[in-house]
Amino acid sequence: MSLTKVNATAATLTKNRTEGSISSISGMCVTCVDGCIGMCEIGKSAYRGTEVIYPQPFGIITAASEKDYPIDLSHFNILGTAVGAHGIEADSNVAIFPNVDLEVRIGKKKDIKLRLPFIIPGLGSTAVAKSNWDGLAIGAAMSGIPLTIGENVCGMDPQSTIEDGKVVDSPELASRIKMYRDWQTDGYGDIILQANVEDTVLGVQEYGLEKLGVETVELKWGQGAKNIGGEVKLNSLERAKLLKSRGYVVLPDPTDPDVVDAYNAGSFHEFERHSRVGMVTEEGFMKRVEELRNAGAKHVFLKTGAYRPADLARAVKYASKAELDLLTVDGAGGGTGMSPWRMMNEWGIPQVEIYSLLYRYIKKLEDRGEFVPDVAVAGGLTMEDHIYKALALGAPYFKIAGMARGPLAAAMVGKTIGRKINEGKVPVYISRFGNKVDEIFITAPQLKKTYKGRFGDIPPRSYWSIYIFPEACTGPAPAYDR
Amino acid sequence: MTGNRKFALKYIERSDITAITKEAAEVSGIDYVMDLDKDEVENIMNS
Repeated sequence: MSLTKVNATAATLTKNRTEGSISSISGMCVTCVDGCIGMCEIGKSAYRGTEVIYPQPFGIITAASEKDYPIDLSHFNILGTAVGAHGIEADSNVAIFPNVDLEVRIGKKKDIKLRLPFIIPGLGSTAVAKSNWDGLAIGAAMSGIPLTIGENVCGMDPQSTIEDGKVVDSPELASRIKMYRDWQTDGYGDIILQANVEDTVLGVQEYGLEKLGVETVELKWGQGAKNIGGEVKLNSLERAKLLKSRGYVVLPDPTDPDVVDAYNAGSFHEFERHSRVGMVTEEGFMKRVEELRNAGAKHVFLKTGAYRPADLARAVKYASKAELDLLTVDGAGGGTGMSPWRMMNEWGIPQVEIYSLLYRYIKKLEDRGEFVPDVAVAGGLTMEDHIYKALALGAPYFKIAGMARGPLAAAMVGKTIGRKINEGKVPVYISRFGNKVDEIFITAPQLKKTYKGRFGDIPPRSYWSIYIFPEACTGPAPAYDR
Repeated sequence: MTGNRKFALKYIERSDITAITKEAAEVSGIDYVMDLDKDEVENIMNS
């Protein structure tokens, strides 16, 4: 039995002609007929070429694998018990769910405070991340959880100033950081600045550390969605030329006169911007960590993707040797941006397997008396039971859960509903709750109470924060403790 | 977390979950559901 679907998926806006009669091996219609207009991936590739590699439409979607992995977190159940209580008096009047403490401290010195055991691990230059940044940043800051600024933000910022190959000003990056900091309270959470190959060449982290008040930086080896660097689409020739001039791989080549002619003639409408793959060495890694600390980094993180076990072992060992503050491991699954669809499905070590290997490797460190970095795991975690199971799978080493698509989905929904309210066009599905912000968003009264005069500055796209996160400890229907 | 009587994150343990398929148990090292609590069960039953 096949674990995967081939040649037709909502992700690439493709379908078979003979739906219901598909060759399971090839994914092709059982009868592929001369005269078909080509709605499947093969057919569409005949006239749209490499465009069909990616989930569509770019810029307003996030995407994730639809492969049926042999094992996932549903293969585990959480066990309750009828006796006792840990961390509180074993008294039925005291051991009640609002008294569960979900705060956690991470880092080598345990000096990064989180109200909840979550992190949003890396939203970078993709259009969907950019257009929802305020919702994510304000929501994460209000929740007291860290937010990671992903790769290529400065390189993609048209207003960036680059001198002698180094970024010296990026309004986009500065704005992303400020938005989070403005809503950060009591020192909870943190804003983390990630870097890939191009960011490192541009000196993005040094710029953030020295000029924008960044204290925590992250080295990025990869992500779960793909075993390569970040990619986005560029919708103008000018953007394509700018990005190429800043050192990115841009395809097709926007400086080629034939390509320019084809673009102007309407043969294609978007360029692709690709990032380079890293060349990890232990010496280079240790040197870079030292450079970042010397540049003022108080905390250094590493994020790696669902590469082969030897690479996971490298990540674990290097993170230990460098005494990093957090190691994030992303299992094969999905992404917030533009990853090749087949790669998202057919590459990498799946979630449960990579978490299990990670546990073994980390335990080995502890057994040998070596430094054990705090660990975050990501990759398809959305529900409260997912989080509990993931933390339990790697206990006591897995400290927090990384989630991006879930919070982003909530932010996008909040944004859409907020816009509909402003337009006076609340959809029927929503209008049963009312037509105003206070009536529709169940979190609004609490946000008003907490933020008083600042409430009006909170966009509805940020209301998700107390629904998904802080209510987990105090509300009647906690996300973490239902 | 109240259901498994853990009132802070540091109390979460691997034994808080169980593998309900043998394959998941083999991959993860988490105890298979039919093998759980054997000694404790024996003590309770013999008490």
